[in-house]
Amino acid sequence: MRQPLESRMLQVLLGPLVTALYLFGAYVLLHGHYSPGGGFQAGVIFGAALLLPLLVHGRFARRRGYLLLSQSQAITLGAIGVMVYALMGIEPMLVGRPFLDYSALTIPAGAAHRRSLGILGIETGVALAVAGSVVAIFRVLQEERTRQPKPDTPK
Amino acid sequence: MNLTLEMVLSLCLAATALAIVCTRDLLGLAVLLSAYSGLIAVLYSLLGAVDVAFTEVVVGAAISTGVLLALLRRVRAKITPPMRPLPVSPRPFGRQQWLAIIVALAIAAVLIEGIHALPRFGDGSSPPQRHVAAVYTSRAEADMETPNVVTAVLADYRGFDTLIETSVVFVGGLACLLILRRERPSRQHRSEHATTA
Amino acid sequence: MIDHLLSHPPYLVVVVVIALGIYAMIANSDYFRALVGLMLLQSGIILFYIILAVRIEGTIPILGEGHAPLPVPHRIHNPLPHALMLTAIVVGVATVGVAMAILRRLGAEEGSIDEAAAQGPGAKAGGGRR
Repeated sequence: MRQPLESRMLQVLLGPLVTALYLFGAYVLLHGHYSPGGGFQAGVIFGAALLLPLLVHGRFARRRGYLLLSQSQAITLGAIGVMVYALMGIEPMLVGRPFLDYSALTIPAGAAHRRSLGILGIETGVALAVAGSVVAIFRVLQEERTRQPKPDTPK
Repeated sequence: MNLTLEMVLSLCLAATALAIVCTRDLLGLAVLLSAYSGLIAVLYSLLGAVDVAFTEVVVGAAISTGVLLALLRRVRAKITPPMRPLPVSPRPFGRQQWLAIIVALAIAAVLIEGIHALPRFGDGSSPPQRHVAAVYTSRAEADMETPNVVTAVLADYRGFDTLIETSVVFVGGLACLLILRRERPSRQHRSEHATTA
Repeated sequence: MIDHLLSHPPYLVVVVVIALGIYAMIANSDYFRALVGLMLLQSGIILFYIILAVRIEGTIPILGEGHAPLPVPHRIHNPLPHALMLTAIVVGVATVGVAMAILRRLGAEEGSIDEAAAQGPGAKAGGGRR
């Protein structure tokens, strides 16, 4: 995975494809109220957009301008996603309403619209969490070297 | 629902699952799993579960295959072209395999008996269709301006479950990181090596 | 009983896939193939729930013009199992990722393991790490 692929076609196609993936992921996330989609699907699409440059360019992906996350950066992104979700749930508690009661969020809008925006907020959190976790899992599994075998292990 | 299409799709799925279990070729296994995900996503769509089909396609056909190939790349060299033929060692078929067949057939029999006892397929008056689902469906649009009832259920009516499931996904990623973390030598070791080197 | 199964082909898929998954998990001493059996088992169970959610002459659980008409009663497929299975799929991939990490770690701890020399549990896929 660290050696870039030799195919010129893949390298050229990668740019528009990754852009389309990011855009499509954002669309799926934002339009999840009205069409099939939502946080989980968008998160996986973002994860794919983050991983494709790694497959094609290897460690040179950053040099070509693609966003590439290391293991710890990816899992931090995942943690941020879970935090966003949890904070959106805690915020109503600050005004004395139950946990995850979106109709009590402090947004100037009607109750139904507040719930709709609350759903959007947590779906964003879910998308970040899933994207981060998926990228972290992939990066960990394709890493070149892990712990060396113990010297006293008979081979 | 087109019965012929369902029958053809079901037979393809059963055949793909059989191929997945019996294949010797690891790269082919990854491709077969991806194909299985695609086919089952079509079946989900035919059964009306479009959100689930969407998720299955992106997760199964893209991410799961990528993760599988990443693992195979690390534990078995030469799965990229030119592929070297796998060693043809005869597959053992002994007591363990017979036990597996007996258990699988027993579970299949239990499943068939259980399916026979289920409500009629698509029955609108069965308990799962009547109670909570009808409430969610009738109130989703009014409560939160979300025509997609699955999103409404997932994010609002069952939002607590989704929070915990999201943290499970995160913990899974974290666990992967921790299991395969490379140990850095402690400061003591480093200073020892510095003095002895 | 058989025609009950055959009248609705997805039930057949459920039975076959779950049985194959369990067979793969028990019959293989190679943990990698057992993991593949687990993935099949997960898929079969998710399909089972989706079948339970179907309502005849129902539409997809998205309301609005062109989809299920308002007002009540709605003839739509039950959205609750859809929501549960959606998260189940994503959690399944995270679980499989953890299992693969464990497999890789097992291979690293025990060094190269040849499939022909496998003894008992713990044989990994093919020629170990290079």
